Amino acid sequence: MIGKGDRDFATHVDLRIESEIRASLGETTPEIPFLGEEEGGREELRGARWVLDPIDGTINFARDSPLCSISLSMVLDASRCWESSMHRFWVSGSSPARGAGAYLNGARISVAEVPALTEAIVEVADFKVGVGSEEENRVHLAVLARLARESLGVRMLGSAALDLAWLAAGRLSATLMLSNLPWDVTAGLLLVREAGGAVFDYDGSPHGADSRYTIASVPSLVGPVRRIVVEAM
Amino acid sequence: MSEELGASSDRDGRLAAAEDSGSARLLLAAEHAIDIGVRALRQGALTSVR
Repeated sequence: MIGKGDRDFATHVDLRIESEIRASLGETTPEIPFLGEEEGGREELRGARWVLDPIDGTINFARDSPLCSISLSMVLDASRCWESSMHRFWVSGSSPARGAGAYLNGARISVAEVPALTEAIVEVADFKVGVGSEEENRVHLAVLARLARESLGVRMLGSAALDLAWLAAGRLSATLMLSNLPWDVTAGLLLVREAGGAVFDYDGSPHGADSRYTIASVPSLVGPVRRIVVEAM
Repeated sequence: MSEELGASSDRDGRLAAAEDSGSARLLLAAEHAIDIGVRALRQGALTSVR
C-alpha cells in the first residue's frame, strides 16, 4: 500500500494497471490525451480524453473483497460521455457509445421500477477523508439518518463505479456521492443514462463536470432523493 | 462470477455496433487496454500480500 494522504491509498497494482493502460492507449490512440487517477494528466474540460480509475475500490481490493473495478471512459467534453468501456474484477462491462444501450451478459438492462423511497435500496458513497472532510461528513451523516427513516435499505459498497453499474442493472435504486471526480463516475454515468436512469446534482441540474455532487437514481425517485440531500445540507 | 455489461451480446457485436457509428478503432483500443488492465489486476490479486 502506498499512502497518498489521510487514509487515502494506492497499491502497486493500481500503479501498474494505470501505467500499462496509459502505455497501450498511447500506442493505439496517440492523438487522445489521458487522465488517470494515480498519475494525473490533462484535466481541462475541452476535447476528448481517456479517463481511467485503475482500481475503483482500492481498499476493497487490498482486503480481498471483489467489490472493485477498473473504470475506463472517453469523455468528449464536460457533460458528454461519448464512448465508454469499463471492465471489472468480478463485474465487468462496456458500452460503446451514448445511445447504444446497456447490457448485462448480453441481455438489455434498465434501471428498476421503484415507485417510492420506502421501496428503495440506496447506495451511499464512502465518507470523506482528509482536509475539509468534517463538513462533508456532517452532510453525509444527515443523509444517512434521513435514509434510515425513509428508505428500504442503505448500502455502502466502497466503489463508486460499481455503485453506478449496479444502479444500471436494477440492483440499486439510487446512489449518492457527495463528490464528483471524473475517474470515479464518467464510465458508470454512461451506463446509468443508457439504462434509463437520471443523473443530477443536489439542485436538480443535470450532472456535469462542474457539479458539486453526483446523484443518480431511477426516474421516479429524483424528487425524493434530491429532497433528502437538500434537507441534509 | 463474471458479468458483463455492454451494448451488444458479445464483443464482436459491440464492435459491429461501434463500426456503424464510426468508433470501432476507439472501442478496439479501449477493449485492448482493458484486457491488459484486467490481466494485471488478476495477477496482482494472486500475488499481493494482504
